[in-house]
This record gives sequence, structure tokens and C-alpha cells, in this order.
Amino acid sequence: MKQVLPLIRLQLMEFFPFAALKNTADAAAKKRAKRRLTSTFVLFLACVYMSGVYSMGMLRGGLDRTSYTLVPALMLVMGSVLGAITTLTKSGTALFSASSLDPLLSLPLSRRTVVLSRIFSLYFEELLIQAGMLLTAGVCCQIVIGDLPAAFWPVLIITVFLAPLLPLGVGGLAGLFVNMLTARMKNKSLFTTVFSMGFLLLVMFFSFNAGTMFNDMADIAGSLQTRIFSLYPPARLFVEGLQGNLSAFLLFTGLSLALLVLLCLAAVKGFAFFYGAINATASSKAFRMSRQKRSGMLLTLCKKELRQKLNTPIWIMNTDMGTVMAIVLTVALIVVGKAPVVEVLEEVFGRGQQAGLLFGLVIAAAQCLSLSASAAVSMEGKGLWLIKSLPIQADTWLRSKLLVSMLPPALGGLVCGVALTVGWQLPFWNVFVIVGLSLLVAWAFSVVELAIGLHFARFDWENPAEVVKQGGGVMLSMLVTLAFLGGGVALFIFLGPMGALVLCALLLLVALPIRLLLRKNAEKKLTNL
Amino acid sequence: MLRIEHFTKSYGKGKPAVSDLNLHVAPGDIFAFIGPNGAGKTTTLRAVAGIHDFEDGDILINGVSIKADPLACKKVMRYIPDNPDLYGYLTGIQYLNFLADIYGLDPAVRAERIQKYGDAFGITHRLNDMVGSFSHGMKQKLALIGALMDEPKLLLLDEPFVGLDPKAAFTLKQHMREMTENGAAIFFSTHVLEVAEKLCNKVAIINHGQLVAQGDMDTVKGDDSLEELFMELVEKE
Repeated sequence: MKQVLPLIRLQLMEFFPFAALKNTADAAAKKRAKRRLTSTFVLFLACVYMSGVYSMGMLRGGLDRTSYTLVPALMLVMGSVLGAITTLTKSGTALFSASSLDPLLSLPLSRRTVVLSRIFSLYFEELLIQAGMLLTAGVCCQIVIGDLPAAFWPVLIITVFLAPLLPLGVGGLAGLFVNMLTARMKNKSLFTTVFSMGFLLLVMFFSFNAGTMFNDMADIAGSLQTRIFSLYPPARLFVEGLQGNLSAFLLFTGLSLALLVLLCLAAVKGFAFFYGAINATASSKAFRMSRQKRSGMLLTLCKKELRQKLNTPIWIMNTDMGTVMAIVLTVALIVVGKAPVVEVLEEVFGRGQQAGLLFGLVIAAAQCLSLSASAAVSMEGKGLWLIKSLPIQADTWLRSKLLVSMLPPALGGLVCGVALTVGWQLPFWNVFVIVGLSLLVAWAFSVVELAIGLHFARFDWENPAEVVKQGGGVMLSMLVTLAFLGGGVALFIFLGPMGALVLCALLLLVALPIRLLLRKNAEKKLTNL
Repeated sequence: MLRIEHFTKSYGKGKPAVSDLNLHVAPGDIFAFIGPNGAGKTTTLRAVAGIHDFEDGDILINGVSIKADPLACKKVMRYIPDNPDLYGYLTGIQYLNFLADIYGLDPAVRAERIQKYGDAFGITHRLNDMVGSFSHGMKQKLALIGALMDEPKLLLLDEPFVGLDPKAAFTLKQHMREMTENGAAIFFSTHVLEVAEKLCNKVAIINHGQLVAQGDMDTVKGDDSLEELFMELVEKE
């Protein structure tokens, strides 16, 4: 235990580098420390913001004194699902990467101590997210509902510390399992990406609980409760705990701690195996020269960009959510069928006959949540010297990033457009509307994100998570996207199909000048990076 | 081939990293650029490679200004930094093909040159492996193959011998001599003064951002060894 505490302090210094800020004379190190500190606070604030918006929306929108506990439950679920997927993608390297472990293992420290301190680091990052989301939800409930039961705040505060454990345990164990399977695979990152995306698709699909999605629109609370509890069963125990059921809360606590213990046991007992597997060099056949192919400059840059993206699971998982959501939504709509949806839309908005167009717009708009362009420039990292020293036109380089970031939304739009048109037996031109809108949204947002990413570019990162999860460019892009989505919904509700045209015009008005400016100043921007 | 005229570069508002540097590297030169740590060698090399902008002066490659037409300059030169960060997510052959596509190399020519330099540096059999799994020395070799396969007119190297095994270092020196015999020029920085003394026909010594000596190797060092001259000049400053 004595040995663990200094290591834990070391891990905490990564999130709160006050010592580096105070003591170092090196300007670059000070800058990195400031950036790290800012990222930590911005991550927390982003969670607070998101939780505040959702919580107040739900509390003002239909939840009451009997159902307000679903608000913190939903925040728990969101934080946990996000935490589980993030932990899955990085547990292997975070816990067992040789480059960061070797210096520690050369000290007189037990492996158990080193591994436990690493698990703490993963835990702490999840703690920040859960604290931001759960505490904000609690404050919103207090403001709107007012008189809360005595057990509410003690249970909520304890849950803030317990909430990261379940996703840490599940994600960590799943991540170790994936690393075990992919030990000597050449494209292990690609496998991890596909596995994580598949996991996320399943989670999202079951969260829609598509079969009954639109059955209980009159009973929003009941419908929401069904979805939350089916997606994340421990949330039921948490909700009952908030309402004063001590045995339910103790069960929740026991379950959380049990998974953490399981992860710790697996990591410590299997240390030699996982360390060897994760740091093993993938074996390939010895190279023999064969006929080589030539590609043009743009295509070769696109191939390089795509390969990097497919080999960086955290980049895809954090920035290509829009396409995943669009696909899940489309499948859910097809399963539900057109008639019930038309009925509900007619009842709520008086626009039932425009269901095809509305959901086509929603699918296209969801693509704007694919934010990979915002991280694309920074992801060059320390390899930027290659781009700057080679005879590459800066605008060609930027174009390759735009094209690759548009690829998932373009493919997603095509798949969803065809599927929805066939599934709902819509007029054939619907496919072109959905694909066209998806491409327009994808292009416009990629241009804006690229411009933001160029402004906030940083290349001194050691871990891609510093760019895709904590980068200023990604966070600002997310805020811009959320604002667009809100505005888009409002425009459609008030103006109908005309609102869609207005939105398209606005997108072009914003993105086109930005693209032209980028093209004009590309060389100068690249030199100044 | 390379003409540096009154080159001055500062980082921020402090003292310039390099001040009023003038250098000429002619075709056929193997030019050593030596100096203590922090003297301004890497800054100069990166400015020549078009990676850094600079405040004053100009850098001309084959008479073309790097400021006016950076693309034209980059087409004839190749740069390798001291610790090359390559694309770890590509295999060795994918990395080389990426470079070959940028250079516009014909498929048959690139295949022949990759085979030639890959065999010379002893890493052909590893080209199917991910670059991320390469050791530092292997990355250095891969970076060298990537630069040499285009047979550039100007080769810029920042401490190229660091991390290379003796055989690879010998091979690199051979190729450097071969290139310059064919009319190319090489401008490189190094801390290994014995290598610079044996390999180079010209030398420049920089300290605190300013040139303290330059010229033909034999003229500059005289009867002293390069090491003795270096120590004398650097301690004087």
C-alpha cells in the first residue's frame, strides 16, 4: 500500500500538473502542463454542460416528482457506456504498454503495485466524467423538483465514486480479452476498432428497444425507464437507492466493487501473459519484392489518412458516432414501421406526412456528429515534418483529410438512404435526398472542423487520446455541432420542408467561404504549423 | 546547389537561434555542419528543408528561393531529422510506396531501388512489418531508404549516424560518396567528428547561432585534427 500511494500521486500529476507548472523552467514543458490542466477542466466542464442540457430538458419536458430519478439514472448510463467503450479501446496499452511500464518495472516495485496504480489512472478519468454528469443531474433535480428524499444526495455522491467501477471492470476485462485474441495479429488496432464499433452498435440498438419505441409516447417516463433499465440493469438498483432502498444500493455497491476486484485480479495474475501479448511484435511473412503500384498524390495521401484512422480505434470511437447513430436509427425505424411513426408525428407536430423527409433529415444531420476532421490535422503528430518537407501541396493535403472524414457519413448516408427508402416504401428520389443531404452536411461540417482543427492544432502528443478526447479543436467542433442540431430541429418544426432548404443554404453560406479561404491560405498555414 | 544568405531565425522574442548565416554547398560537396548542442544546426537544417519559416535572409536551392517556391525546392531535396518519427501505422513497404507516390516514381524504378537500398541496409525482409514495431536503428534505415530511393540532388541529414549499426553506417557513407560523385550535394550535421573529417570535403562550425569557421576541410583544420580545432573555437566563444 505504501508503494501504491506515490505512484497514484504520479498518476494524479498527469491530470493536475501543478508541480510542472510551478517548477519547470522549460517553456515547452510549461505549455504542455498548462494544456493538460486545461484539458482536464474542459473535459469536466463539457460533461457538466451536456448533463445540464439533457437534465433540464427532461425535467422541464415531462418528468415529474414520480420519475425525476430517471435523470441521474440516464446520466449514469451515458457516462458508463462511454466509459466502458473508452476503457475497452485503451485498457491494453494503458495497463501494459512497455514504453511507459518499463521505467517503473526497473524500480524495486511489485508488479501488483504498478498495475494497481495504472488501474487507478483509468478510474480517475472516468471519475471526472461521472462526477460532472451525475452531480449536475443532481443539482438540476434539486432546482426543478426542490424537495428531495433524505437518501438522494448521500446515494448520489457515493455513486459518483462507484459509477466508474462497473464500466472500468467491464471495459477493462473486455479490452484484455480483445488484446489476448489479437496478440500477434498485424492489424490488431483494426480488429479492436471493429470489435468496439460492433459493441457500440449493439448497445445503441438495444437502447432504442426498437420494437416498442413509439408505443408509449404518451408515457415518456415509462418508456424512458424501460430503455434505461434494459440497456443498463444496474441503473435500476441505483434508482431504487435514490428513493431510499438501502439493500438495492448495497447490491449496486457490491456489484461495482466485485467487477473492479475481478479486473485487478485478472491484470495482476495475468501480468506476464498480457504484458507479453500486448508488447509482442506481430509476425509477418518475410517481404519479397513484387510488382508495385503507383497512386496519384491525392489518393496516396487519402490512403495514408485512412490507414491511420483505421489503426487508431480511439479516433474512430470518439469521432465517428454520427454514422453509427444514423445506422441504428434507420434500423430502428424500419423495425417499427412507417405507420406508427406517421401517427405519432401527426399527433405531436402535425407533420405526419413528412415523416420520410424528417427522418431523412435527421439521418443526414446525424452525420455532423462524425467529427473526425476536427482531429485530423493534430493527428499528424510528430510525423508532421514529413508533410512539411515533402513536395506536397498544402491544399492537396487538406483535401485528403476532408475526403477521408467524409467517407463514413457518405457510406452511412447511402446505406441508410437505400434501407429507409426500401423499408418504408418511400419514393425513389428519397435516396438521393438522404445521400445528397448527408454529403452536404458531411462536407460542410468537415470544412468547419478542419478550420477549427488547424487553429487548435497540436503535435506534441504522446497518446492520441490527448487529441481526440481532450483536444480543443474536437471540443469546439462538438459545441458547434450541437448548436447546429438544435437550430436544425427548430427550423424544421417551425418552417417544415422550407426549413430544410434554409438549413442547406446556411450550411453552404458558412462552409463555402471557409473552404475558399483555406485553399487560398493553405501553404501559409502549413508553414506556420 | 544550396546557398544560404544572411539567414536569421528566432523563436519568440528572445535572442535569435541563428543569426546572419551565410553558406554555400556546391554540387559534389559532402558538407559537415558541426557545433555544440543548441548551436543552431537543426534550426538551419529545418529551415533549408522548408519546415520552418524564418525572418531574414534567403535560402536558395538550385537558384530557387525556398520562400518563393517551396514546392520546386522540395522536389530536388530530401531531409531526414535526427530522430525520424515515421508513420507507425504503415508497413515498411507502404511507407516507401507512400514516398514514391509523392515523388512520382515509376513502379518498376521504385521496386528496383527499394530492393537495392533495402538489401544494402539489410531490412528488405522486414518491409512487411509495421513501422511502429521497428527499433530506432531500423526506422533510421527506413528513413534513409525513403530519402535515397529518389536519388535527390540535395540530401539534408541531421545526425544520420546516430542509431545505425557499423555496417549500416559504412553503407551510408558509401552511398553518400556515390551520390556526390554523380553530382548531388550532401549537407549534414554530426557530433562524430572523426567521420566528418574522413568523409567530408567541406565543413562549417556554428556556435551560439553564428558561424565561427567554414571552408574546405583541409584549409579549415590545418595541421590540427577537427576535434582539436572544434574545442579551440568553441571554448574561445
